[in-house]
Amino acid sequence: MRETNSTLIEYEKSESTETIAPTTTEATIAEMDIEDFRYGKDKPRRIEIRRKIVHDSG
Amino acid sequence: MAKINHEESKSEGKLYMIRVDEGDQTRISQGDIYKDIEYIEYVFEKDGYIEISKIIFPLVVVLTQDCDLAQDFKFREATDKTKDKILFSVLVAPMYNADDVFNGTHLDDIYEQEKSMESIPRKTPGKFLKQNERCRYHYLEFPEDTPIVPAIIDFKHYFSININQLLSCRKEHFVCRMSELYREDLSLRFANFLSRIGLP
Repeated sequence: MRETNSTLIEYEKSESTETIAPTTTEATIAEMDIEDFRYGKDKPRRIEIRRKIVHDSG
Repeated sequence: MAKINHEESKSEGKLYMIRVDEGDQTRISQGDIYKDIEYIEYVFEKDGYIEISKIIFPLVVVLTQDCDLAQDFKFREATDKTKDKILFSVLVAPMYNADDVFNGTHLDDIYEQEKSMESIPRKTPGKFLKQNERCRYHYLEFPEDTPIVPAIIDFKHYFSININQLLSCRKEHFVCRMSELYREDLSLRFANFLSRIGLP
C-alpha cells in the first residue's frame, strides 16, 4: 500500500486487466527450449490497470 | 546475460553483424540494450479509480549521449558536488523483431489490428533498410553467442524513461551493450534523423 498526499491506493482491491507477468526471468529462460530462446522475438504489448483509490480517513 | 550458441545460420552471413560487449557494470551507457522496459502512456484519476496504461517493450537501446550519462553517474554518486549534471530521464528507442517489421505486424498487439503498420518488401526496400540507408530505421544483427533476434530500431518511436526507474531495474533487465564503433554509428544516425529537414 502506498501513500501519496494523504491518499492511499489500495492495491489489494485492484481490477487489473494485466494477464502476463512483465519480466522474463532467468528461471523462465531455463524452462524454455534454450536453443530457441532469443530476446526480441515478442511484440510490444499494452497493459491497462484500473485500481480503486481508498482515501485515508485518519 | 545468457550466452547461447545457435546452429541457425544467418541468411546473409556476417554482412550486417555488429559487435557487443558486457557493458559498464557500474552505470547506464549509450548503446546499452535492456529487455522488458515499461513505457507509461498515461496515469489519471477518475471517479475514485486510478488508471494506468503502459506498453512493455521487449527490447530498447539507450540513445542518450554517453558523456551525459557518465557525468550523471559521477555527480549522482558524489556527496560534495551539486546536482548540476544529474539527468531526469534517459532517451531510448524500441528494437523490433526485424521479421515483424518487414511484415508490418510488429505493433499489432498494441493497436489490436492485423498488419497495423506498412509492410516493407524484402527485396529492394528491405535491402536498403538492412544497409541502413533509410533514415528512420537502424538494422542490427547480433553475434551468434548473443541471444537476440535480428532487430530494427525505429527512431520515430523514441521515448524517455525515468533514470531512477531504469537504474533500479538495470541489473535485471540489462542484456548487452553495442560496441563503441556501432553505438557511435547509431548515435550519429539518430542525430541525423532528428535533424532532418522535411522538404515539400
